[in-house]
Amino acid sequence: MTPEKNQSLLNILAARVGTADWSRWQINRWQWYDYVRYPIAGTSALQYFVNPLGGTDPTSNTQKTISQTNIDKTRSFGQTYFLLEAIRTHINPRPKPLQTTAIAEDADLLLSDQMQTWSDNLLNLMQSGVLSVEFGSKDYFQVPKPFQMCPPGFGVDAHEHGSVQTWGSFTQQNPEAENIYRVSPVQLIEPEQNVDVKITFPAAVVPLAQLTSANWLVDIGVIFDGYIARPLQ
Amino acid sequence: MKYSPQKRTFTRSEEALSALQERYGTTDYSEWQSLRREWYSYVNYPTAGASETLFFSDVAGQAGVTTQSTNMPKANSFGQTHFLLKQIKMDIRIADWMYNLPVANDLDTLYSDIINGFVQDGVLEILISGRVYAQIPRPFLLAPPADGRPCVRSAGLEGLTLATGTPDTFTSAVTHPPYASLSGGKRNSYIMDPNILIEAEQAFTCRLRYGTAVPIIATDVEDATTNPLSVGCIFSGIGFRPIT
Repeated sequence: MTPEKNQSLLNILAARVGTADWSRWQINRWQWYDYVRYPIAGTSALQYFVNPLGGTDPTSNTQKTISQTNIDKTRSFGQTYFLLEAIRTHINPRPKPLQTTAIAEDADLLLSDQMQTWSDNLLNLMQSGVLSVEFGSKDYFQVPKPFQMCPPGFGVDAHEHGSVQTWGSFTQQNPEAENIYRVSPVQLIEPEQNVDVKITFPAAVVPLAQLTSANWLVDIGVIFDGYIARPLQ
Repeated sequence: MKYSPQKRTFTRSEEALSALQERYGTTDYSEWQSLRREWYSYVNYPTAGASETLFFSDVAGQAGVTTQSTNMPKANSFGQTHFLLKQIKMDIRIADWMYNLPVANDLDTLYSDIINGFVQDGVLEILISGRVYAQIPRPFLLAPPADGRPCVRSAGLEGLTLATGTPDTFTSAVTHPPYASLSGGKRNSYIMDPNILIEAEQAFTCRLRYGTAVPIIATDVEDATTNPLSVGCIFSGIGFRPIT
């Protein structure tokens, strides 16, 4: 059978018994996200969208769950088009109950002077880094101080911080939606396009100070916010 | 005048149904009314946390479920109405915030769970007829209630300890209770753009997922039976229903 006939047969089969209708596309708001564990000693680079759901985080050596990522393929968004409309970064300390035992069991950690260390760690991180985004090995975005230039645009309203000791504070990245990094003009990422996203720390690594004499578990995420186009099913 | 119905021969049950509806039906399916609509579902968040929490699977009126928890007419479906989903809001609710109790440690205040608890993790998934339509990371943050949150302001110190010396040495201070909430303000809304139309009787699943279950920190505040903590999901949009 000639290649033309093969194609023709494939089209007929797809139209008649296929599971997707490639002639009609559906568009939805969507986020592709990936959180990676930040090494306590700092690092020269964090790589994103490399280890898919079920893969292993290189720092924590734990399996990546739906909380960490929703990509199914390494460095690709699979058989979908994605219209990138905004880039968010998110410094995400793991919830206290999931931290190392010393931190999880510190009864007054969140109201204590340890929160000064929390704030200092985050403020140091927020001064650093360069976000690089490449598609098909061609550079598209290079953003300095990404934790401030590309804030998550979400967070909590911490109206009143409390303290049972002499010092107390709470720091998060900018939570206002109006401050997110908008990609304008929007960027289309085609199916199976190679995606290379990293946050580098070229000048110096930024170590995290310990909390309660224990290593603090912090994930750092990159969220691509935009629109997904998928064939109808 | 004597009523004389037109004589018709029904060869298909659909024709018969249509004629009967036209004459005796309570609903006019040819005309539709649109109105702003919130569909909401609050469910208990267990003290030990859960890897998956389902929303919209309870129905108002079933055992222990009131309209405080949900206004769903049917599990996982909006029944005989269409719904255009425009906005998603996540929320938490507790009957007694216990703001007036002394805060000695992290267990005594929901502030802990908000700044470094389950609120800071998780993914919200929406599946319609089994297909994933949304996968929102950190949904309590990215899809906040974006409403009119209460404003709490406190002033001054609650306690101050000095050590005897010359002069006395400042040792520790205790402030008023801490307070934090999910993000308010419409500007922080999670807008479903383009909107999603969920048709009448369309089955959907809405679930909050965690890679690892996150237990509640404020166990001195939350109580599984007398003061349970609920998490909620609100679909805000436009409802369409036939005129009756």
